[in-house]
Amino acid sequence: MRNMQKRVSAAGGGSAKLKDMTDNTKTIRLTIDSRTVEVGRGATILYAARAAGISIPTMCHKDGYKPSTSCMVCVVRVEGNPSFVPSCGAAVQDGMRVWTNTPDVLEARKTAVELLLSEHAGDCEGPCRIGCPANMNIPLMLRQITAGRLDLAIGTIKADIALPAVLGRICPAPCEKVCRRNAHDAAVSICQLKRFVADWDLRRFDTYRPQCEPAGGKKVAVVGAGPCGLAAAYYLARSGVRCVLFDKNEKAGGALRTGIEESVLPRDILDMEIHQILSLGNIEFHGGMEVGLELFDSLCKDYDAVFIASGENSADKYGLKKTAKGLKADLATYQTDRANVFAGGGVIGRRRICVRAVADGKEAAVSILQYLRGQNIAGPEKRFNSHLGQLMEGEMEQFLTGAEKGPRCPARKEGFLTLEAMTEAQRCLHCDCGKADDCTLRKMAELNYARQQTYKGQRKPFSRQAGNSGLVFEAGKCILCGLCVQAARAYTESTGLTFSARGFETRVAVPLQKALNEALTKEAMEKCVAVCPTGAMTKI
Amino acid sequence: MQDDGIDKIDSILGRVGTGGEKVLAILQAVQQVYGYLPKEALERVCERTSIRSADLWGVATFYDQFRLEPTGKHRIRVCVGTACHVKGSERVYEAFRRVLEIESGKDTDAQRLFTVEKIACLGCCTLAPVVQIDQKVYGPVRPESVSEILEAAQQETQRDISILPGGSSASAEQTAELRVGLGSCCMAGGSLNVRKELDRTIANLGLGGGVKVKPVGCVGMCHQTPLVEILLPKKTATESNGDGDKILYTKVTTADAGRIVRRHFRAKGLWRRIRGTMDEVLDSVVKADERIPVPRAVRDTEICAFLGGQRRIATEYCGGLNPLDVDEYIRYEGWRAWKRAKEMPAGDIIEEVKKSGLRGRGGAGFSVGRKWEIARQAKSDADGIKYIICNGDEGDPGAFMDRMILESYPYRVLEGMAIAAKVVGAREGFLYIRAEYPLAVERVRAAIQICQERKLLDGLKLSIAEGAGAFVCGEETALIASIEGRRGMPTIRPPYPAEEGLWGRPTLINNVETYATVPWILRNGADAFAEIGTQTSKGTKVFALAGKIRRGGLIEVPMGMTIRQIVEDIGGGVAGDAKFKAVQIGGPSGGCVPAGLADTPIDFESLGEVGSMMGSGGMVVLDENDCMVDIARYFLEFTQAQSCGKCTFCRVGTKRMLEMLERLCRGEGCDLDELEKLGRQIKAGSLCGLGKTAPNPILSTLRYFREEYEAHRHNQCPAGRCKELIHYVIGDKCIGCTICAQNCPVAAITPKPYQKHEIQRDVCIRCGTCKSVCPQQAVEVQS
Repeated sequence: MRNMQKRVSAAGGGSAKLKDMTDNTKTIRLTIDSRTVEVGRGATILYAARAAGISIPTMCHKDGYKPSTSCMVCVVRVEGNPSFVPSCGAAVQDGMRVWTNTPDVLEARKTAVELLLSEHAGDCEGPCRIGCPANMNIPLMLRQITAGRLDLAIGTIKADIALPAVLGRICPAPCEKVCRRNAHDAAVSICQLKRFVADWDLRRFDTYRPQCEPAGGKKVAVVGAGPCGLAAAYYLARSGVRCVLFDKNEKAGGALRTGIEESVLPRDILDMEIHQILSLGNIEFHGGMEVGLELFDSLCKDYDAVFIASGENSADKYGLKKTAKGLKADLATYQTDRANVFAGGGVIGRRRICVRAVADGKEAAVSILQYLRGQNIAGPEKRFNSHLGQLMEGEMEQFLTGAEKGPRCPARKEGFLTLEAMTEAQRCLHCDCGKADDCTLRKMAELNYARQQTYKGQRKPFSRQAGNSGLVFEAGKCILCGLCVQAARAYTESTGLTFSARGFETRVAVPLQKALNEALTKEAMEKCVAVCPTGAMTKI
Repeated sequence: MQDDGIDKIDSILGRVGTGGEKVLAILQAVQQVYGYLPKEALERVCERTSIRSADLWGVATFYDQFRLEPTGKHRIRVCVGTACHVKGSERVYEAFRRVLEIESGKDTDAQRLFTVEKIACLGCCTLAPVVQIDQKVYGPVRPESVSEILEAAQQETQRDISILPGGSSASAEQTAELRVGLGSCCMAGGSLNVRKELDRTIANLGLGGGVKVKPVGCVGMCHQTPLVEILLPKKTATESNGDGDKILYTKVTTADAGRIVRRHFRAKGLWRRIRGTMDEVLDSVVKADERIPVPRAVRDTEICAFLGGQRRIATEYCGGLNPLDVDEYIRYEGWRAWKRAKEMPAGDIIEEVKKSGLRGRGGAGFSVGRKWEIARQAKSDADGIKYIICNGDEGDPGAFMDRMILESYPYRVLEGMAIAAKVVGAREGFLYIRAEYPLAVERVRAAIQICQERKLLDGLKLSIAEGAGAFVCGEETALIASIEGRRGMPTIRPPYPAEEGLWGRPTLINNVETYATVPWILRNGADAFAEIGTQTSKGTKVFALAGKIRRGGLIEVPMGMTIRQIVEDIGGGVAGDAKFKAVQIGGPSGGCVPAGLADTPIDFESLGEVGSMMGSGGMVVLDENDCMVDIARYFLEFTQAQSCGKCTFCRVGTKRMLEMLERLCRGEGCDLDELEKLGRQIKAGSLCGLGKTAPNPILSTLRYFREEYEAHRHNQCPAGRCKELIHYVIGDKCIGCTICAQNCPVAAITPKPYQKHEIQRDVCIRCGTCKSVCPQQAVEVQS
C-alpha cells in the first residue's frame, strides 16, 4: 500500500493535488518541442507539456488517478531513448529533450488507437442509425418511447427528419433491414414507431416546435418545395436563416403530392406536416412560380445563397455544370460549381427515396450555413464509427438481456396503439453506445485518422452486465485503463472491481464472478461511469 | 463449504499468514489441498483476512499455476519448450488429447482421469520431447507411444521425489566415491533408481564403510544422463580435476548400476563374494534377453571435446559437489569471498566488481557494479530499509541454467547475495523462484536453513517467494509486484527498483547466475575475471545447449567464443545427417542467428548487432528441417500468452502479429512489410522488456530467412513443418509391412500387405506418426 502511494507521488500529474505531488523546491528544466519548460521535480512530462501550453492527447489518464501507462496514446519521443515514452507516467528529468509530434510519434499513436479499435467489441452508433440515410438517432427515440416521453421522442426524430409522419407511411425503412434483431427474430418496427410518435404529435394541440436560433440577417432561396427543399428550409430556419421557397405548383409537397396515392399518404397528414414546417417562422412559400434561368440568376444575386431542390429532370434550367445524372454537385457539401448555389435530391440524380431527399435537404442546410458563416464548407461532420460486425456465438444472448422477448408487432393501418408502441420499442437491443457522444476512444480515432480495419483479427466478445440504477457494464468496450478499478477502491467498495486473467484475455471484472450490483453501489458507481473513457461503463 | 473445509482454510491461514503479501502463498496452499481454487475457499480467505476479494481474484486469474476448475486424477503436462517444440511436442500434445478423446475447449477427459496441459518448459531439453505425468517425467515421447505411457502412468504410484539428496560426501581419505547426478534432468533420466540400486548393491556386498554414494548437482552432460562417476581413494578430497582415478559411466541403467559396483569393488568376506557372483549369474540367466553389457567407462574424446572448451565459474566444481553439504562447500573455498567481503569497505567491493566488468546475466547486461552503487546510494525512507532480491524466475522456454545453479550450487548463490546485501545495506532479501522448479525451491530452502543455523549469513534474513507461472514476472517491476502479492504487471521505469522497489524501498535485483559469479570474482580478483572474455563482455556465460545437437547440456563458456565453436566443438554439431541452419539464442526475447553468421562471438554487443540477444542463455540449434516461420510463430505464441495485458502494443499488438503469422502458416498470405512495421512499433511502444523484445524472433527471421516467409505466402513450407501446407506421401521404398496403417490414428491408410501403401489426404491429420514408425523411411513430406 505504501508503495502505491509513493508511486503516485512520484508520478505526479494530478492537477488538483499537483502541489502535493511535485516537489517545487527543486526545479527541473527540460525542453519540449524545443521550448524550454521549468517544472517541479516529480512532475510528469504530460504535466510539463500542459504547463507549456503543448497539448498531448490522453485516454487512460485522468487527473487525480495513478497513471496506468497502458493505452500508449500519449507517447512522446525522449532524445536518447530508443523507445516511445508514455508521457502520462514518465517523470521529467533535467536536460530531457522531448518531442511530442514527430511523424513517428503520430504514427505510433495512430497504431495504438488502431490496435485498440481492432479488439473493440461495440458499435458507436446502432446499425439502424448507420443504415438510415437521414442518420436519425433511432435507439434514442426507442428509449424515449419506452420511457413514455413522446415529447422528447418527437424532438429526437425532428432533429434529423423534417417529415416523419409522411416518412412513417412511405419509407422503405433501410434501418430495419440492418437491425441486429433480424438475426434473432425480426427487426424492431422502427418506421411504424416513428409514425406513431409523429401522428401523436400532429394530433396534439401544442405540436412540437423546435427552438430556432435568432434571425441572423441572411436569406436563402430554395427552389422546389418537395421533401428535399422543405427539409433544407426547415433546418436553415431552425438555424436563424430566412428562407424563401419557390415551387411551380400551387401547394408545397412536390412528388409527395403528385406521385403517391392518397390511400398510402392521406393528404391531411401531408398538409399538416408541411404546415408545421411553413409555420415555423422565417419561412415564406411562393407557389405557382417556375424558376427559369432568368429568375434563377436574379435569385443568385438577391439572396445570400440558393438551394436547388427542383427534383428529377430539372437540371437543365440553371446553366450550371452537369453530370450524366443531373446537376454537378459535391456529394459531401452539395455545392455546385457556383459558390453560392447548392443542390440536392432528385436534381443531382439521387436515388428516388423520400428519406434520401429529406437527408439531402438537412445535410445541404449544414453546408449552406457553413458558407453563410464564412466557415470551411465541409458538410455535416462525419464521425468515426466502430462496427461490431457479425456476432459471435453467445453474443446475441448478451444483447437480448433486458430486451422485450416477444415477436415484432404487426403493423396496422391506423398505426400502433400506445401499449403496442411501448412494447415494440422495448424490443430494441440498444446496439448504440452509451457514450457515443463523449467517448475518448472515438475522439482519438478521429484525431489520429485511425481505421478499425487496419489490423484484422479476433476481437473481444461482446458482453453486457446490468447493475444498480441503470448501470451498464460492457467489458468488450473496455480499454483496460483500470480507472474504475481505482475508483471502486478509492470509494471503499468492499467488493469493487479487479483485472482478471492475463494478456489478450485480460478483462475488468467483478471478483469471484459475482454480480455487478454487488460490486458497485452509490458513489463508486457514479465515479466509475464518470471516469470510464469509453462506453464500457455507462448509465442509462 | 463443509466445516472441515473451513478448518482447512483456517489452518492454511494460520500456517502461511494473512498479510496482503501472502496472497500467492495462500492460493498455492489452497490449491495444494484441493487441486484447484474452489470459490468457497476464496470467500473464506476474504472473510478471515483483510485481503480484498478484488485482489485475491486478480491474482488467482493472473498466474498459470492457479486453476479455478478441478483437475482429473492425473495431471499431464506436455512440455512445449523450444527444444521440445522442434522435436514435435505439438504432435505429442495432440496425440494425448486424441487418445483421451478430450473435447475441444476442455482439458480433462470425460472420466476425469487425466487433465492435459501445456507447460512452458520443464527444463529437460535434452530428453525432448518430454511429458510430465504427476511427478514422473517421460522422454523422449513419440505420438504413437502415448497410449503406453498413459497405461504406465496409471500403474505408477506416487513417488517420493527425494528432494533432499541427504548423505554426506566422503571425507575420509580411504573412501571411494560414487557420484550420481541428481539434477532435475538426471532425475528425469532415471538417476534416482540408479542411486537406489547402487546403495543396494553396496549394502549387499558389505562395502558400507569404504564406498559411499554421493549425490551431486548437475554434471552438465545432459545428453548422457544418468551419469555415474567413480572416484577411487586418495584423489577424492580437493583435486577435482585429477585423473587416472576417475571413471565416468554414461547413460547408466538400473541394471548397469550393480555391475558397475561389482566391477570396481570386491565384496567383503567370502560368503558375500559368492552371493554377489551368484546374484549376477542369476540375473543374467533369468533376464538373459535383457542383458545389457555394462557401458564402457567414458573418458574418450567426445567428453573431452564437450568439456574442453568450457570454463567453469558460476558452475565451478561442476558435478563434484553435493549441493547441500555445506562443509564440502567450505572445503571447496566456499564462503571465502564472503569473509573477504566482510573485511572490505563496501565502496571497494563495488570497485572490484566494476573492475571485473561483470554485467547482469539476466539478459539486459547492465553493469553489476553500477547497479550496486545506485542501490547503495539510494536513500530509503526514514526507516532506512533496503531489500535484495535474487531473480530466479527463469521462464524462457529452452533455458534452465538458473534452475541448475539453484539446484546444484545453492550456497554459491546465497554467498553472492550476502556480499551484495552487505554492499547495498540490505538486511532482508528474497529469492523469487519459479514454482515449476520444486527441486530448486526445496534445496534453496534447506540451504537457507542450514546457513541460518550455522550463522553463516550474519543476520541477513532470506526467504523464498515462489512464482506461480508468469513469464512476465522475470521483469523486475512485475517481480516486485508478485512478491508484494499482486498481479505481476510491470510499471514504468524510472523509478528503478534500485531507487524505489519492494514496498517502495531501494531494492537490488540481480539474476541467479550473476550472484553465483560474484564469489569467484572476490576470491580470484577482478583482473582474473576481466582476463576472460571480450572487450565489453567479461567472464563466462552459462548456456542451455539443446535442439538438433549431438551433445546437448549445460555449458559454461568464456564470452567471445563463437557460435560455431559452441555448436561444433562442444556440441559435436547437428545430430543426424541434416544441415545446420541456425541457432536461436535468448529464447522469446532473442533471435535466430543463421549458420552463415556462426562465427559471431558470444557477447552482449555482437549478439545485439545480429538481431539476437544474450537473454538468459537458452541456445537451441536448428537444422534444415526446422521452419523459421514456425519458429517465429512458436515464440510469439509464447510471449503473446505471457503478456500481462497492460499496454496496448504488447497486449493487442503481439496478438495481431501472431494472427498474421498463423495466417501465413496456413497459407492465407500476409503483408510482410506490415508485419515488420508492426513489429518495430511494438518494440518501441511497449512498456516493459517483454513487449519490447517480443518481436525479435520475427524481425530476426524476417531479416535472415525472408525467402521462407515469401514461400509461405505462396503456400509452400520449404522445411515441411507447417501442417496446413504439407502432405505426407508414401514413396517407392514401401515394402508393404502395414506398420503405418496399424499406427495411423485416423485410419487414413488402408493396410495392404506386401503392396505399396497410400495415404488418403482428406482423412490424414498430418500427425507424422506414419513417418516416424516406418522402418523403411518410405514416408515423405511434400509441400
